Amino acid sequence: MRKSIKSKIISGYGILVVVLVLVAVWSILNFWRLRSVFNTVLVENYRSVVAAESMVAALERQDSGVLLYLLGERDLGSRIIGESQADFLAWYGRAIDNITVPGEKDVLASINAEYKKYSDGYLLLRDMVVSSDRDQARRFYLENMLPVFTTIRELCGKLQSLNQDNMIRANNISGQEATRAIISVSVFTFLAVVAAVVSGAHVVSSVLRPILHLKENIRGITQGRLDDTIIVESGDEIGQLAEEFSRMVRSLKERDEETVERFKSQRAKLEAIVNSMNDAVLVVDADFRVDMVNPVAEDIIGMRDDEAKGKHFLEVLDDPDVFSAIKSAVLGKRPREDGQVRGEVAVFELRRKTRDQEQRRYYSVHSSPIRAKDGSLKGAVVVFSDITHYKEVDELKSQFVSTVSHEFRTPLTSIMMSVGLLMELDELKKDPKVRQLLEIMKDDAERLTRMVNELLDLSRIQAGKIEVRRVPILLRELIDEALRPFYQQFKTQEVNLVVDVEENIKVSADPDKIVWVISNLVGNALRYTPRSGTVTVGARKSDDEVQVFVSDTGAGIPKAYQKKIFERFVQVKNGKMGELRGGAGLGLAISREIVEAHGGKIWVESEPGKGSSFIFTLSRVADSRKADSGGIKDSGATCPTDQK
Amino acid sequence: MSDRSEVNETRVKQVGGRYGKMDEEREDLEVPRILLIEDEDHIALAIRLCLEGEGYRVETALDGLEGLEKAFSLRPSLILLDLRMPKMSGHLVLETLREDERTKDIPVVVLTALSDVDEKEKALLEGAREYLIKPFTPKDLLTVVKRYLPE
Repeated sequence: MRKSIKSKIISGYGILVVVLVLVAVWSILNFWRLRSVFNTVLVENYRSVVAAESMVAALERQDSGVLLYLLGERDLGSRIIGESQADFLAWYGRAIDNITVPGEKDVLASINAEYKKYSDGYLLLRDMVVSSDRDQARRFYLENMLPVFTTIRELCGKLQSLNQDNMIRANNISGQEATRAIISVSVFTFLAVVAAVVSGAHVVSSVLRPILHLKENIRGITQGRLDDTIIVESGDEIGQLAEEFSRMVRSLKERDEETVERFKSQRAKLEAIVNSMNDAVLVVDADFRVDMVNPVAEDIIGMRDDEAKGKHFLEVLDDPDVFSAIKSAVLGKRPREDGQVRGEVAVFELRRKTRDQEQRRYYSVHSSPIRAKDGSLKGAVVVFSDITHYKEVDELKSQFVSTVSHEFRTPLTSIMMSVGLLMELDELKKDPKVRQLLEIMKDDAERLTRMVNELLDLSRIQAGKIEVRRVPILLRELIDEALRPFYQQFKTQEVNLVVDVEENIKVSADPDKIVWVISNLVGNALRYTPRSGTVTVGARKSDDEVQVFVSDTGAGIPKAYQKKIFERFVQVKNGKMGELRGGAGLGLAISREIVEAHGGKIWVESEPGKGSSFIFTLSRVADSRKADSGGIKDSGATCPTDQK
Repeated sequence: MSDRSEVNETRVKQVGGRYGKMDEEREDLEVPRILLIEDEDHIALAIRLCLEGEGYRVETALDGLEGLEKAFSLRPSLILLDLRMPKMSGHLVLETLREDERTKDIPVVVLTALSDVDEKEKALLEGAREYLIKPFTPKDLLTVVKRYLPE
């Protein structure tokens, strides 16, 4: 039942061999039959014909011998007769041995009887000759022997013709035999060819069918139908191959299932983590359609996971600002150095009405793109962290700081007014001690004012009230605006001011904020620069950014402090001057927040004893006439550069 | 109403007695009159002393309502107005002053502890000429006042 391809091919060829042998045997049989016909014709009948002719010849010679004997030549005659007689009998014997044709035997019997008569006649004749009765002998010969002789000759002729007829007949038979042989060999050959074709086709199909079947199965498996079992009902090498193949598929399937299982448990683990998170998690695909939301997120969007699935982000959370922030973060418009965007991208405010009151909740929105190995975007994870509590605390704090600093301003005003008035009184001006004390009061009242101002600025910045609204503007205008309140101070402190800025540098900046930063830096420089020192405000431009610097010839900042000064409430004690001149130490911290909100950097380069240079960067706007330089009100009348 | 304002005036005069150089009778003369509407009496006093030291006549009101009354009755040459006050806020006072025929042309300088841009803009929109942020020095104050009342 189970035949190998080899045995199939061999059996196919075996059939062909058998058919070939049969055809050969049949042909041989036919040839052999033809040959036997020829044998009859050429050998047997021909022999009989020869025998008949030879008998006639022997008889005629014998008759000649008898005639010689009659004529007196007795010795010669009897010798010829004896020889011919022996000859005749020998041929007759051959003819007897070669009887093939019906009737031949009777003819031969007649010949024998006649020949006996003839021989007896000769004996009588011899006696007559010996008794010298020649005439009687002649008469006897003519009357008795010659007719017998003629009869024998006729009989021999008959024998000959009998055999000749048989030869003709045999010839006809052989012709028929040959025709039959041709027909039967042809038929047989045709049958053999048909059998060969059929068996060949059978072999081919029986070899190919399992291969085709296997091919179909493999295609199914390639298309993922791992459950298809490979059924190849053949025990040959293809069958074995198929078996090996199904074994492979089974192990593949097992491994596949194992992987799926592992994947499932991994997913379940992740889902458990995500679902137990206090933060809302929303997973979207590359088209920002919701893929998954966790229970906290369900709460926020007011939709169940299965309801939200497939909907666009904006359909579940109608806040275009948040969406565009997430989108730009995910699409890498704000890429971090490590390529991951993990920072807060937006703050989302959710107002919800509970039974009796409106509840407000704030969420900090973070989002990270999900990327495939090749870097293509697969989706994004969006996390909403509830920061309502922090927000409230922060607001409270800001409010507190704001209130406190406002409240401080009222007594500060009366103190400053009073001190100012006192200093103008002639009686008091004369006393140097009083004068000194009043100066101290004035200085500290001013310092307290700065602290209050800085605290207020900080609280406003932290409360997020100050947003950076960037416009393209000439840097020169910002610097002039920042310097304007200081001109008088430069004069009274006898400090030189150098402004070194190209007229046409345009930057992208929030004018108020950057003016604040420059003012703060200039104020610091002025505070730390001794009489007849120099403060330089300038800018260096590169392709896409501008470095703005404020340099002084003051005491400089020790290396250890150079980073720290940008932190809150840090100020460098100026040992040499021994005076408390700073504010709350918030100015640089605020400056840094403002500069960083602009996407820039701020740092200090300083050498103790020689001075400091505060530098910050702003992004540059390509110089084009179309860009409106508006931004600062009343900045039309640019102050003349005061070099003194 | 008038009783009350008289009482207040007397009080102010008493407090600033040492610097009060001028007699009641000479008040109507050429010296311009400044109305100060400020609820903090320390500040009110300091400002009054400062301005009187420069020869200005100063009327003081300690809340918005009183300020309005005095503004309508005295029609001063300049009004210094604190924004944050009990009873009636500076903004409302400012609006009322702007709307009234008698006072709408009197320049108003706003005194405020609120340094927000919003606050400043609001005051300017409501019709204030200028703002002075607390704390300020006598010099700051006089610079502003002199801009409106040249000697």
